[in-house]
Amino acid sequence: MSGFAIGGPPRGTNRLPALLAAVALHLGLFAFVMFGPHPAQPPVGSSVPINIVSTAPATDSRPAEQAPQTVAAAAPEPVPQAPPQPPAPKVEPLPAFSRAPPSPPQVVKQAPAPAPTKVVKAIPTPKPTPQPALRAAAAQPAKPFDFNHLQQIIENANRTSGAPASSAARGPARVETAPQARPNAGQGISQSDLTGLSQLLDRLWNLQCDVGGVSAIRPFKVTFTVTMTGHLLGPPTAGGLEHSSDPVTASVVRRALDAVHAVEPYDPKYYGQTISPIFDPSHACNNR
Amino acid sequence: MKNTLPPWLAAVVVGLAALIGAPTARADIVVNVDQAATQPLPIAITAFGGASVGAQISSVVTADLARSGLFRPLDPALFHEQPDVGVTPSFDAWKSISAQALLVGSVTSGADGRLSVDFRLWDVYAGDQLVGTRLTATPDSWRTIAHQIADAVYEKLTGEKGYFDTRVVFVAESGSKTKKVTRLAIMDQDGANPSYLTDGSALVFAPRFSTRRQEITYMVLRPTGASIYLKNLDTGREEVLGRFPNMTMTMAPRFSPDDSRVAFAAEASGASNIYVMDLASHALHRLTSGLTVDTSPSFSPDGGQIVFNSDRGGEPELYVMSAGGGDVHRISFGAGRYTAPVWSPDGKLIAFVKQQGQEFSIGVMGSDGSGERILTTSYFADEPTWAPNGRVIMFERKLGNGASRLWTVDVTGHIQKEAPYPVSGSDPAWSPLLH
Repeated sequence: MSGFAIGGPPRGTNRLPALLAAVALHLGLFAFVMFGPHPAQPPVGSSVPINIVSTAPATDSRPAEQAPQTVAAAAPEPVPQAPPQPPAPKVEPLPAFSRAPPSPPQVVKQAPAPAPTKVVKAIPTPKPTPQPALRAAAAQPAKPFDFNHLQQIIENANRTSGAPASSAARGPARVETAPQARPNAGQGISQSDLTGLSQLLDRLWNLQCDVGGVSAIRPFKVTFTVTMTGHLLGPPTAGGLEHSSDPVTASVVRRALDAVHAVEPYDPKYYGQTISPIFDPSHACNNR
Repeated sequence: MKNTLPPWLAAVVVGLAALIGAPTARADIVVNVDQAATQPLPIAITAFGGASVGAQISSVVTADLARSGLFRPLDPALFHEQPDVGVTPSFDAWKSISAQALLVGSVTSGADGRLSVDFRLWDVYAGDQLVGTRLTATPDSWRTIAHQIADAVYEKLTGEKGYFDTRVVFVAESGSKTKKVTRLAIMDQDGANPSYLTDGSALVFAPRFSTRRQEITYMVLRPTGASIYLKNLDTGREEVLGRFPNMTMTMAPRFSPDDSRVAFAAEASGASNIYVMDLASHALHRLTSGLTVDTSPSFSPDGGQIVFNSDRGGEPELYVMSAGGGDVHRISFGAGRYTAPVWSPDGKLIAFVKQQGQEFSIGVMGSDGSGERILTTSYFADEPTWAPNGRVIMFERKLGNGASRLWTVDVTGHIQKEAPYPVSGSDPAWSPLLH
């Protein structure tokens, strides 16, 4: 037999007495509620005298003095991520010259020089939400379920926990591979932010409308993800159009990818976001 | 005894579990980009290292790209480094001066005296190498190498074929108005290496380049009559295609796309008609007839049609007919007089001259006559000729003092420049790419 099995009395047990007792108990409870004594209800429309004992003082809006809080041991503060460092030097041969007559000299791609240190806005540290004074859980060990305790556990889990901060010098940060996993990333993007990003890309997209066929290219989408340092997570892509067999299309798409690169570093509000600008060459050329 | 959940309830339980456990999917941010800067592309062109000719090569490349109007070569004084052709540049430094592309190169002289020029074109923002090529040639061909590098850069960054490694044949004019001397001349498209092909003893006009070969036709007018010549520029071989004693004038010869025929106009008894000559057999075939003036034939790139001008409707207008001579239909309907039609290399456009009042314009229209637009207007303009990539038109512009100059204009009309030929010239014809 398939399906989920649940527990029950052993086969052959007589359940009739228990059933009858339960029915009788419910019937009795119903009769008491329906026909039992009720408190006298004031007639509709009659007034009830109220004695005003004293007038309450005006609301004091001053912040109350905070009592010392008992705060459970919180996770260490997340450490702001260090500015990105270039990947380890890699030596790989460049493609051979396309017209090398005998044997082209082997040209090697040398490790790019370390990028100049950029001023990267620190990742906003999630501020701990003010906690109500936690009840001393240890003093009430028998309490079966404590919602406050559960909330504290959840909030601690939401923080980026890690090892205690060390005074030792930090090593180079690794490239983040899953920025989407960061909580709170990209929150608070307003419509005006998106308009601003759109206008920035408008200015940075250098489109050569005077080249034949550019204005006939259909709109295309570029997709990229912003890391938690405002840079691009991998190269932006245009669904392969950047390698189009039509050289004019490939050129136009490359200019769009350049525009996406040129925005770096992206504003912190885009950290962890996957962004898909849709570039419209026809509209852009007709509007110039 | 074991009770079991019914299957449907089990499915619901499993589905809910999956929903609870699934990570929250986030939608992409979508923005529309429907404006663009449309500025000439800023490009850093470094002086090529190695032999002393390296700097000259990069200056020719710079001039070619700047003259196209699509590029803005950056001032070398801004450059932070002089990258070696074999080393990946420091892109951040080039970004800081707003270079979108970077061209580096080096020149070496081989044991046989030949130049080897290595160059690489980089996309600065993407950090990608777009072109990496070595060219080898004799030292006196360094300008050709430079033009070919400019073509490679142009093609990679615009998607269009380049047009820098080309030549222009034209009529060089000298002497006074009453004693004008005309000589057939040829130069690189940037005005370099000018040389004369005729000695000025006869009036020459209407030179036309072959579509594929370094070969030209041109007209010679002597007291004995007009002749059509065919000249191979590589070998210097010259032949007379035809003398037409019964015709007082022959005009405007032009090659067919496969170079097997030449179409031209010939005047007899006050009328001008279109003829086609087979270059192998010299057989002549008349395509139009009547007492009207039909002239300036130009083949479509597929060879199937010919555009020409005719006054059969009263005023000079543009007409298209089949290459065999039938199916004539008019394609110009605007105000003014239309002359000198030339089919573009890609077949989509027809360039023309339009006269309205005291002004002459160079314009283009679709091959069916649609979408006419004027590119430039002046006191006098004539004889448009297409660059092989179909984006630029060279033409003759006459100034108020009667001097003629060669000018270029792109098909949008936005980029207009005087060709760098210092003296009077007219009747230009653009060559196909040399490489």
